Amino acid sequence: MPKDILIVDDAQNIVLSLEFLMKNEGFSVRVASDGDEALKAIKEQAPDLVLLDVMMPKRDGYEVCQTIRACDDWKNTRIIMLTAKGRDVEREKGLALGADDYVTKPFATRELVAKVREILDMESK
Amino acid sequence: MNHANYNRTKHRLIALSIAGFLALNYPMLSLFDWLELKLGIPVLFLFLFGFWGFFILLTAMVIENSPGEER
Amino acid sequence: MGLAWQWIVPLISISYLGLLFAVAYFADSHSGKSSSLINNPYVYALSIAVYCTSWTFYGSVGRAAVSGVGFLPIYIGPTIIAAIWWPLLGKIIKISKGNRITSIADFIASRYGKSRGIAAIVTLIAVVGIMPYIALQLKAVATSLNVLVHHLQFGFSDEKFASPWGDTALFVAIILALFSIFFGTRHLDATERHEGMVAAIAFESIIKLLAFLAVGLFVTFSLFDGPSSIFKEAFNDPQLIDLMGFSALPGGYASWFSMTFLAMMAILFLPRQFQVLVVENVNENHIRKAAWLFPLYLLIINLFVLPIAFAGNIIFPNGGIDPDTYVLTLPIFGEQQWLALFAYIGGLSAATGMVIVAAIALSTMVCNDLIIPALLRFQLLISEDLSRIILNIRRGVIICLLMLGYLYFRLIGESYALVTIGLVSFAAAAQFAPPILFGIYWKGASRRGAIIGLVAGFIVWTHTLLLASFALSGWIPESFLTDGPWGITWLRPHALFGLDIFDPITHSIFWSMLVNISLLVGVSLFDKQTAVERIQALNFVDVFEQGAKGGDAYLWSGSVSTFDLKRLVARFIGPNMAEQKFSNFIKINRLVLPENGQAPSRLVAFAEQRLAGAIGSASARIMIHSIVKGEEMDLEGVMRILDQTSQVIEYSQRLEQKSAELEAATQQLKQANTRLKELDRMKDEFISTISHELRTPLTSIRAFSEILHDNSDLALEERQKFLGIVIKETERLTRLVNKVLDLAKLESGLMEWNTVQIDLIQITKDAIDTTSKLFEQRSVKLEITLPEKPIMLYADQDQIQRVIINLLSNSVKFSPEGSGLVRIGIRREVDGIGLEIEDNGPGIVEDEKIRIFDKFHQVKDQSGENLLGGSGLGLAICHRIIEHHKGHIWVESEPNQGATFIFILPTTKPKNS
Repeated sequence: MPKDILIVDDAQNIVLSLEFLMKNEGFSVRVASDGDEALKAIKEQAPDLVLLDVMMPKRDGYEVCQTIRACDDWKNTRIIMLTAKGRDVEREKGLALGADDYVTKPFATRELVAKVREILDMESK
Repeated sequence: MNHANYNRTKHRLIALSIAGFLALNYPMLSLFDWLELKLGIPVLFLFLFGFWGFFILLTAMVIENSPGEER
Repeated sequence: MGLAWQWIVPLISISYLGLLFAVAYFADSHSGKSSSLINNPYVYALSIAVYCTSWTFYGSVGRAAVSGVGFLPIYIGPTIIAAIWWPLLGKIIKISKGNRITSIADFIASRYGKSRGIAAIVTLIAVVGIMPYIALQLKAVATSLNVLVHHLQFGFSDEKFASPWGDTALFVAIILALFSIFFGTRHLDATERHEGMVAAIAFESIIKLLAFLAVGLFVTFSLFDGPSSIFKEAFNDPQLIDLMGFSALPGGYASWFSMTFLAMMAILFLPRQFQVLVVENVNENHIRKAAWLFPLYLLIINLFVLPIAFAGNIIFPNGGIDPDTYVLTLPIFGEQQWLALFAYIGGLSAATGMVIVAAIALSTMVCNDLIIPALLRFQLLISEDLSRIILNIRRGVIICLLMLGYLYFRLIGESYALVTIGLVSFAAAAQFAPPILFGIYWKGASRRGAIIGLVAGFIVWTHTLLLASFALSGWIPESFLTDGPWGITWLRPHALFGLDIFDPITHSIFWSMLVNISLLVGVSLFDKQTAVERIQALNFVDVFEQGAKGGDAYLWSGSVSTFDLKRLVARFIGPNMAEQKFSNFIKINRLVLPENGQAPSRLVAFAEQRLAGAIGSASARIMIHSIVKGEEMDLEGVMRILDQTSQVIEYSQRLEQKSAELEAATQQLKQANTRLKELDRMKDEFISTISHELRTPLTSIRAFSEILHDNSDLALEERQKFLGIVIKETERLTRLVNKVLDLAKLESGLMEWNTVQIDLIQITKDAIDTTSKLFEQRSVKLEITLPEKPIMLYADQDQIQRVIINLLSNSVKFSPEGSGLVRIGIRREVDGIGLEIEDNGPGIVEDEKIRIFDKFHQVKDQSGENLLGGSGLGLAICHRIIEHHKGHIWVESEPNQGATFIFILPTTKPKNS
């Protein structure tokens, strides 16, 4: 059974590229364009991994991350934060809130794919 | 003692004193100088004693409502 | 008539005085302790009621019976001035405590350079002025005693008066003298308060109040059915009805006014009032309560005056009974002998209280300010221990004073009504008001001015009241009154310079106050004060600023040994007392005595103060002067010290100013710092935001480039799609970079402007054309209201067009899709051309209206969604462009009611383009 990945970003083109990359790796992919949609999708079915943008309207990535980590049902869901704000403080904040990894935009597609695999493989072990 | 408070009380008392002096002299008094009884008392007597008492009441209120000197 | 009233009454009188002794003795034994009887505002207020003498007790009714409300100003005046006792009397008391003032003469002398001359003058005025008043009390006691005994024995038959002892007044005088000696001369230091005396007069104040109320209640409610029944009966009597208005008052309103004024002055400056108010004051805070308690006492004791007076007039219609005796005769008429006796005791209380306090106050003044200076001058004080001698002098003075009072009574007292004598004394005491009041509020008042004013005022008083009273009593020829002295008509005592519109008292007050005040002020203005005067003036006027320490310390620059100093003080207050006071002072102030035995100047000042307490400030100064070797500091020396003091004050003021400036600077720094922090935060946010704005398209570009690069097997369709995205994002990135660069240019002033004459209408039309596609896309309607004629102004065509395009595209984005409506209009305004663009979008909340023009401020709705989807740079650029053209741009909006962006451009040609 393929791993389920949720992509959350408000920039439509970025979602498009991520969707292509993940599908190309054989994962099953769902998308959301803001925090609320993301939580709705997670509630429907907890994904194995969330690619989560930080700066979004309505609910930002930190909040979504916090909500996921606050619930025991979703403890197996991995989270990779994506942000266009390159400051260290953002990174620290993301990790402190329970994200598994952190990627700065613009990212190298291969590195991102490798990171996703690594995190999901670790989990499967 | 709070100096501003003391000054305010002082000014109130001075104003009160001046008002009393004016009210209890000509021409104010001439307003009550008619030979008539009200409540069985001549109007002039009634005014003089009534205002007198009222004045004392005001003085007491101004003074007692002001903070005293701390010792 | 079973009872032997002629023995009972004197016996009860003596017993009552014995009771007073007991009260006084008890209070004295508790004096100075925490259990002190008099250390509270209630006793203080009651002791002030020594103001109510037999003149009040008997005379008020007497005056009311012939003049209606004519007695009232005497009590209303003190009520009015009592309201400002706290500030006024408070200042006098503070000064007096700081300077160890023993009497009113001492106060005035001390203010005017510790002058012995002025002390003597004040004392003389006080003695001459108060003597009639003491006589009045003797007369009242004697008369009341005789009237009481006579009517008790014989009722109201026509029996002749038969005094049991011949001359009652003499006995009264002797007994009161002994009583005063007992209370007043136990200690030498007159500033040590007489607690026993104060307790006794407070007690007497209660007795006289109760007695008067008892008579009032009996007359009003037993002889009659309440006050209204008295007044109704009087109302129907044509002779009495006039007493209910002002027509019965001799002198009318002018007299009312002058008596009110007199009483206001008398309550403060009669020597006995000064004694109880100032010298005997335990705690300045007691003034607060006394300022309304004492007027309340006056109100209560006067409540029944009018009912009793009218009742007396009704009951004794033909004038057979002296109205001054109604308080006694009405109870006897009602067959209440014991009530009459109680009333008599009340009157006795009123009289004795006044006599005792007046005798003590006057004896202190006479002894300190007349006799001791004289003895010093003629070097008659050679004994080592003078304290006994001084005490005996005081005792002698008291006896003399009462004998003088008795003499005055014998000579002219009989011919005068009580109230007139009292007013004569009041008018004398009023002479002290100008030197004291000017003295404590005006530093310029000088010794010579005070002396000349006092003397002139006193001469006028003597002429218009005292000599006139002599003439009235037949002591000097009556022609003195009617034709003037030596037949000079413009010197007639009751019509000086032909001024005959006033009653005698008003007339005298008018002239005496006029000369007193104008000479005091006039002479002072042209006078030069001595050093001591200046220092004392400063001490008095600025007492609250300086504290009560007094400026004596630097007056003595000469040298004196501590031994001599102590010996001098010991001569006046006794060696043991002197030793004790000196060692206390040295201990408390931690004085270090130099080894050569020289007294430090503070100790000299202290010695002078101790002496002042015993013999008055003027004499004390002379005494100290006599033993200090070397000169008293000259004026220059004193001025130098004063200057130094003022320099110190100035310096500290400058320091204060500096510290205030420093504080202001700190405040400004803080604000600047806050603003910098805010700017820093904004810059940080700016970088963060710009980074986000740039990275987002970059992310897409890079991602798709890599996808295309790594996946050569992509379908053509997909490849085209991805390449399209890359191109679009690149365009977006380019626009953004251009905007950022533009903004940077605008901000740094590097933007090149091409300012020419342009037609705003044409530019607007072009901008509308450019954006028309956007409107079509979102189906937003555009209403255009443009003038037909061109509107010319000087501006950069491209930039202005950019502003309009920006505003138009914003408005499209804001307006709801489908139902959107945008209006654009141009019109002339006062200060230029206005262009406004109105949409029907969600509007802008108040605090966003200004921030909206900040760079990277993106308009968000309540949920935080970026509504514009823009970079947040557009409006910032518009703002800068319009600003550059000396115009202004702003937004008007209510939430949910759309927003209107307006800019105004001036039509004038810019100067430097």
